[in-house]
Amino acid sequence: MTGVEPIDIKEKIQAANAEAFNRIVSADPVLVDIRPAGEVVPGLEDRMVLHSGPPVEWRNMSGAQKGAVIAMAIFECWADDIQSAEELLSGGGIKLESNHHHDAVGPMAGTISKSLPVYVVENRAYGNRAYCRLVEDQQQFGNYHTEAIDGLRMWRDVWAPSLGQGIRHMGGLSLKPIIAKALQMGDELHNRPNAASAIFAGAMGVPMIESGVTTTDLTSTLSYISGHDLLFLGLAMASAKSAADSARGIEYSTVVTAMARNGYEFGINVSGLDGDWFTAPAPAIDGLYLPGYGEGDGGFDMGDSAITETVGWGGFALGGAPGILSLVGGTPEEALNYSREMREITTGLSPDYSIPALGFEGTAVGIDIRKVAASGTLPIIDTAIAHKNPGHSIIGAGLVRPPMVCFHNALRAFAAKYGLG
Amino acid sequence: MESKTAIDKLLATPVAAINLGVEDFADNLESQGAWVVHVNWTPPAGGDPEIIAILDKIL
Amino acid sequence: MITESALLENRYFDSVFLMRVSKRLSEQPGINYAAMVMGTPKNVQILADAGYEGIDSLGASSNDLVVSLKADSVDAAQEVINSLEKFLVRDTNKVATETKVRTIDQALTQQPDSNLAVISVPGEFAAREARQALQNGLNVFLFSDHVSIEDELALKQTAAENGLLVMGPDCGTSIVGGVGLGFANAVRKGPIGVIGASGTGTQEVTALAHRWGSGISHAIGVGGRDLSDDIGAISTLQVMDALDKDPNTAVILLVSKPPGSKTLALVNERIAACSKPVVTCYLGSEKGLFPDSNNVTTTHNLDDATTAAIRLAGGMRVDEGNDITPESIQRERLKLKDNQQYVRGVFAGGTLCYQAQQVLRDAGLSAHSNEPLDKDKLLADSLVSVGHTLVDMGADEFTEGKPHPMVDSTQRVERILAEALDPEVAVILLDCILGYVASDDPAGEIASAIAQAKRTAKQRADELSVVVSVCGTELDLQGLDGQVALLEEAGATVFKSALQAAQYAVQLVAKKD
Repeated sequence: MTGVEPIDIKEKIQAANAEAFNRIVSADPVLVDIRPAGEVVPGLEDRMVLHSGPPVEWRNMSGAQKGAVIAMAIFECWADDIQSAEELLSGGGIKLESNHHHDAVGPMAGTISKSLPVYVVENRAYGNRAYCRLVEDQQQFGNYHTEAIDGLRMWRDVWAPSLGQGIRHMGGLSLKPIIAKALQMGDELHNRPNAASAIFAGAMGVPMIESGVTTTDLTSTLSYISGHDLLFLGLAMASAKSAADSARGIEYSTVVTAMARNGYEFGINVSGLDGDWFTAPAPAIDGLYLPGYGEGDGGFDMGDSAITETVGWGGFALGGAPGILSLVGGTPEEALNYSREMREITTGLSPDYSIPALGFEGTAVGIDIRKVAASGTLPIIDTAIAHKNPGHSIIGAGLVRPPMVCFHNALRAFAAKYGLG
Repeated sequence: MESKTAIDKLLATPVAAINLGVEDFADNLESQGAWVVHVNWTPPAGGDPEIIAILDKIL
Repeated sequence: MITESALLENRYFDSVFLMRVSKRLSEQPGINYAAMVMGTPKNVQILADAGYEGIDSLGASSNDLVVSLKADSVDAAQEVINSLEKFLVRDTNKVATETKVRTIDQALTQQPDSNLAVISVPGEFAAREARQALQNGLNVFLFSDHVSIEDELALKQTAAENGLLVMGPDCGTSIVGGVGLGFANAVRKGPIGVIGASGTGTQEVTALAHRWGSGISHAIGVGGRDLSDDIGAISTLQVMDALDKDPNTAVILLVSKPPGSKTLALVNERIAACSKPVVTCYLGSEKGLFPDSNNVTTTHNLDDATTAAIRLAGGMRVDEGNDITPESIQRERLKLKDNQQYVRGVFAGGTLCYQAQQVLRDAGLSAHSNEPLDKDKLLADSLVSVGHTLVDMGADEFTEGKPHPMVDSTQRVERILAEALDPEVAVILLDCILGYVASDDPAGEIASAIAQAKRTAKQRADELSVVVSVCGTELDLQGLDGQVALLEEAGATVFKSALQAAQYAVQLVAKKD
């Protein structure tokens, strides 16, 4: 038994976590623009590529992330081909920084550079902004071939400007209602944002027409957004980032404000320990593979998309997403259990985002590192799988949990910072 | 009359137990018609004493 | 390796489901790789790129299901293709699993009226869980052992401050309002309230009280160290208060090892103030060391304690009787050779072992043990008997990482057979404990060992006496009569009192006058 019970610190943590929880659930994300990253993302320099996960040096980067960074170098015309891009990168000619250090997130390799348009999402409850790049199934998985980079070019030249014009015309698009509806339509907003994507596509047609987007661009953009099931993931991620960032830096809070992976390391941020990453080697994913690929091909866990789980979506909302149940290898009941299980490691239930299959109860929000360590229950993340080598598109999908070491290290740091020797 | 403590209440009301550990004990209570919830217990913090010591101070 | 493909027209499945089926197909014998996709042009191309040959020739459309297997042989591939339908059945009848409760908090959400935590987690974590239970307003039945005396004291102090009770640590037995916790016998309700600082001692007195016509209001374990001066009888005094107030309790029976001297004064003071008569049984003490005092009837063994409690509750002990007569004892003695001098006890119940040592000591026999009455009788090696030896097989050295002998008799069986090899052994003294959580067939587990022990002795022309006490009631699931019969058939002399069994064993080896 410990002698003196420091009730005081428990109360401080309780209050700090309540504050963090309230900020996350009261976030009001609004898509205000789509702009080239160089114009809007704070601190993004020329010859810099932002990437997913905690900071990582070029030599340690996973194969898929290297491939994606090479693609960005070609996309930005800093290099003419794969080989020269590689030489430029290994010579340190391009700065590499973590998205999360720039209020940004990106799916899988998560690469963002100056010319790539990003969603600009403003959290109107707190006043902060967050940024996320487009979601596709090639370049972000490390594919650096021309057809993959062509997708980014179309986004840069046609789709993003057209959508941005429509967004500005309508004065911004509130995302909270779309997210709430989608969660009740079988989405978990990470691997399955289909309903949200459809709602978003439906909302964009008229404003683009009204704002005078040319017929050619309109046709191209509408056929892009109406045929892209994962379209909304980028918006879900930006929304989640804007919510999670508002909960950063609350002294004494043990709530997780980011979970991010780069294929090399899994890292978490904790509100009361802002500025520090708590990392461990990225885990392998328990998943299913597309034809032609198998377990030996998969890279380790990668991407900023676990920001959705950080605010209570994704794996935390699996119980409400029967469409991807076979992905989690089981029955609806098992998926519901994932969602129920997450309640034991979180601070509270969302008042706004609810799941019909769970009796319209809210999703579990505010991962508490104390509860994770005490219960041994790790957050559940559903995710896609990239190849271990550069040059491939998506190869599979599955479930993953963070390494416990991240949470233990965070607790040690918490004890050190707050004098619990 | 003295006020009733939790012990007095325990002796005066049916057993409603929370079982941590050996599952047989929960089965046994259930077979006697007592109420019981079995906790699927695992060592806290994977049994890491340093982390347990921290958790004891802050959780 | 060959590639074999097939087409199922107009069968649509989602890609994620097909990925799962593909994985299962690839796990079939003789199959190296399997692909199952809808036949869209893109998918057909992907398969071709991945080296699945001959897909083009199938002529698949987007609504057709394509399966392609890379296999060791055509036969292996065909076998899977012929049984494709069974792989395409979705698991709809998988049993739904409830979310498992993993913390006390969650359990309380499910059962808000909980009044007790039953804790049997490993000792190093037990105090922590007990503390959390107390913080949540729960009484604690702490079965776990290896809890430090400091933790025990802190837990009991916290509990007492909040009007909560800690039963234990190392608490084997309680009966709360007729419900047995841990190892307990099924007994009728009645006027006797038991406070037990020992597990099998509590079992023995509650079973005896039942069989002798009385019954138990509550039997509350407090842990073997509660009456030491380190703890100061915190739980004992709390239970005394509660039983004093309890309308169903007429007499209080306290079973323990001798208390510390300061604690004895505390306990006696409380007993003097008690509105109900109190019987104490401090096992292991020298006879007469604890005289009757104000409101206390002092007894020296579990049978006398139970008898006194029944009488003070206004009842009469219903005697069961047995076939033992001075003549039968004499007959049994005559079978023993002169060099057969020793009693070897192999016990599952620690308190029953302790009481048996006391019986030997009172008869002037010196008994060794791994849990001795007197320190100088400690066995140098628990595995090796010397002279009269009574072993507690439930002690730490036997249960570390192994099941308790009340649950599994394997180690006891080995020890019984080992004792039978010693020609100086006259009597093997055993106990057989029935009740909740104990083995389904404790008598059956030792019966064949008893028979074999007797045969072993016979092979060297010895008669080996085996004496067993059964602790249990006819309400116990194992069936008292059937268990007794099994032991008797194996050649044992059976008692339903551990005291009587020990006394009988002593009579068999007592020096001739």
